[in-house]
Amino acid sequence: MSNKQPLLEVKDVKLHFPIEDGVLFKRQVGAIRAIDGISFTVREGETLGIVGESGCGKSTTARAIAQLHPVTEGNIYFEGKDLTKMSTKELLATRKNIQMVFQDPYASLNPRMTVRTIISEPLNIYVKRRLLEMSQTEIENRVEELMEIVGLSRFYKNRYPHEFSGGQRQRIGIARALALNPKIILADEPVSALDVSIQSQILNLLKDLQKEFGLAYVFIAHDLAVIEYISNRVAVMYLGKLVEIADSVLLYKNPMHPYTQALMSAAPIPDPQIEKNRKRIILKGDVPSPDKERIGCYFYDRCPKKMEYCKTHIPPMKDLVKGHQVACWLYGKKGE
Amino acid sequence: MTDTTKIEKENEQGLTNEFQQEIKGNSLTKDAWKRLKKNRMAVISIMVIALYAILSLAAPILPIHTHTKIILEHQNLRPSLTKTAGELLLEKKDLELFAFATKQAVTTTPEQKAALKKMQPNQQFDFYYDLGKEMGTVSLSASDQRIFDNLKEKVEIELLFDIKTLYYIDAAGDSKALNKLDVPKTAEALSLLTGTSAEDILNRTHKEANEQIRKELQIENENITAEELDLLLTTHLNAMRESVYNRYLKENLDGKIVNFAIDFAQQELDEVVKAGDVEFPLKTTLHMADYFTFKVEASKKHERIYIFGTDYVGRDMLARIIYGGQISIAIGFIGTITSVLIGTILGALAGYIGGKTDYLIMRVVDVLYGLPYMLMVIILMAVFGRNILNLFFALAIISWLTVARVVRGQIISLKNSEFVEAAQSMGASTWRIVFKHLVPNSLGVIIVFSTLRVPAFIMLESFLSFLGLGVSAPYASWGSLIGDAVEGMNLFPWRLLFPAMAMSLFLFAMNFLGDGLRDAFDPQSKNQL
Repeated sequence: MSNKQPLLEVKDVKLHFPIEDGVLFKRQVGAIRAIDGISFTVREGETLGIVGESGCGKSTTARAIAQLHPVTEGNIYFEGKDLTKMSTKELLATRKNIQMVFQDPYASLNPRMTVRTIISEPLNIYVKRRLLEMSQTEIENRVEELMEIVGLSRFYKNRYPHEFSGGQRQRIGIARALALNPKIILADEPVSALDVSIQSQILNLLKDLQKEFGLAYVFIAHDLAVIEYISNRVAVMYLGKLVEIADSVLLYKNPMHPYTQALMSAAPIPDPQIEKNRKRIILKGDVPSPDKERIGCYFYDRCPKKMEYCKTHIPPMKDLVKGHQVACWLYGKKGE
Repeated sequence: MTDTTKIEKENEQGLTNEFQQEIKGNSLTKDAWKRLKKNRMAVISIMVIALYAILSLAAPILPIHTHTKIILEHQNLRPSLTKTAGELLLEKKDLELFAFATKQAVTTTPEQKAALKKMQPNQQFDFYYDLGKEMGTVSLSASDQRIFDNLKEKVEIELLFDIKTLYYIDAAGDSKALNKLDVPKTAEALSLLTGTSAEDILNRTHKEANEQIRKELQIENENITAEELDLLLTTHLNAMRESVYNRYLKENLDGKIVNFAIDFAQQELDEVVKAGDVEFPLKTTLHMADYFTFKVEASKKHERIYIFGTDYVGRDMLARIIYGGQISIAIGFIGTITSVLIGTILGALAGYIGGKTDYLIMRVVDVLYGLPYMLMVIILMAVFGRNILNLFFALAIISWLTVARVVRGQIISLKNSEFVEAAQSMGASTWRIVFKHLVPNSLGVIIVFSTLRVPAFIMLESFLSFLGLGVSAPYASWGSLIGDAVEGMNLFPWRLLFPAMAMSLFLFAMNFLGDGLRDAFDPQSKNQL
């Protein structure tokens, strides 16, 4: 897997939302550090899962990659080209390959549009901007083709989103994301709003599509089981920073970062015997507010294994074994 | 056969589902129409509004009296389906004279006096009339009887007539319409009627035309001395193009000829009436002095029937309500459309783009809100002159503010939804996001708001007309009709009632239609198919 060319490379990306104050003239008094320096790569045909609790910056990461929010610092390379420094036109041409699937299938489809209009919209936009050449009949055929691909009957194409169930709507959202033949899909919690039975259907659909079209996914979720099922590699996020990245098998077998360990222990195991004897790690306190600049480990306040050294030194990402990266002073030498 | 070719083939034949039913393309508007048809009140409203539209559009060809014709004798006649104006006049006179006679003939008891004091004049008349009839002894004096008989005769013989196109037959025997003749020919034609030479007539006409232009100049330039006016007149005449000057001459000459024709027709028709044995309305062709022929349409003046009564100068209320509706509805719709267009575009852009754009637009709105809108309208009307177009303009300028605020609020509440983010991630332009995603989703509010704007505009216009700033006579609007009627409300209730009813019905229909449209444009509404 490691010999594959990185498709997407995120390098030291920071995304801060300014906090403004002032009566007449607004001035910046601080920032919400939604993402505070993260780096990772996604290779072609691979699924990178991102987990973390609410508010840790998972969704913002996806939006930063899609350039929906301008990043404050850092670079995002897609096939070697920096998305953050592109002109609008170039960005559009490149973003054809980066599409998003959203969390809430009820909110992510315009209720005033029929399925046909929704799925054909990206095509129409790119045709209008002369980045794509397609006739109206071709678009029509493509819509029907996409509907069949995601498992919807093409007879539904004149219906409105409210006439579908959540799973069907998510299929429409996936069809829309597939319309432009992207290379990578940013899936922002695509199954968390669905029933468990429907979740597996959508996950299997995504897996099948990956096999068929060689798609890469950045898959965001907070359900550990879902991530384990779909991901090749998993990144764990805490407070705008990555704490651990590893192959999913490795990570689930041997979580190294204290936060990952705590996260893993929070997920129930469907075996009463093991569940009874299992010792849960319970973190104290709440997630601190991300509006402060930190000089020590971001997890220091809640870490069960904290040391004095962690208070004043930010741990770098360290490569341990087989691409298992951890940002913690417990591993490797201090001050390295 | 591959999948795509199969689809293409089906597309050619028209897509069918598993039950062989054809699947047609669908759009929001088509879908909305389907839903609207299910809503009974909305359909009735549409029919009512369509009726109003037909009536006001077809007003010129409807068999109604003209709304500008003033017949002073027919003031304030009550509505009647069967009785002619003449009968109503006689009835009125009879009541009046009989009541007066009774008043002089009888002495009233103190209770009756007290009761009379509280009554309106027409109720007093009724009181005396009934009293006289009850007693059976009161009779009209000889002079009163004569007045009554004179009126009766007048009602019998008085005519109203209209002269259609005049034709002039020249010496060669060719007939030509009067308005197609040039100035010297017209003068020649007039000379045949008056007996004076054509040259004299032309000279006189020149003088009169100059006088007319002088008067117009005087009105344009107030506070001007006579010498200055003379100077201005010469320069003005020199600068004037010949065709324009000729138009003055032509108008003058034509007027004279038509006056001759009217006098002639009056005499002829009087004789016809005296001879009797003619049915009115009468259509006939008259020949005047061998040179002129013209068609005349004559009807008996007092045989008109006013089913909605007449106003304070004897104009037909029905015609005035229909023509007034024309103006009121036009103001309602055009004002609404312009204000909603401006308000939606600016409000949507302010709401979506936010930041400085939003700040700028909304501060402009706030400032305009701060100004008293009546003052604004008055100033605008004063600056640009008083006509209906300026009224539209003035109303539209001040009324987009609320629309802009409402739309902005809607857009702000929608702009963070995921479907907008999805559109952004697809690379949709600001314009597309605003007008394809956000505005359609706030359409319900916009439509309801605009259907409520229509009545508001009609109200606003009527208020302006009431103040004397809106539609001016001889034109009418529902507002001005109601405004005029308020004065005689107790005595002549029909003058208030009919326009008010016409207006209320229309406003009701608009409101129901608004409700229906809101439901229809919302695919998620409860009133589904």
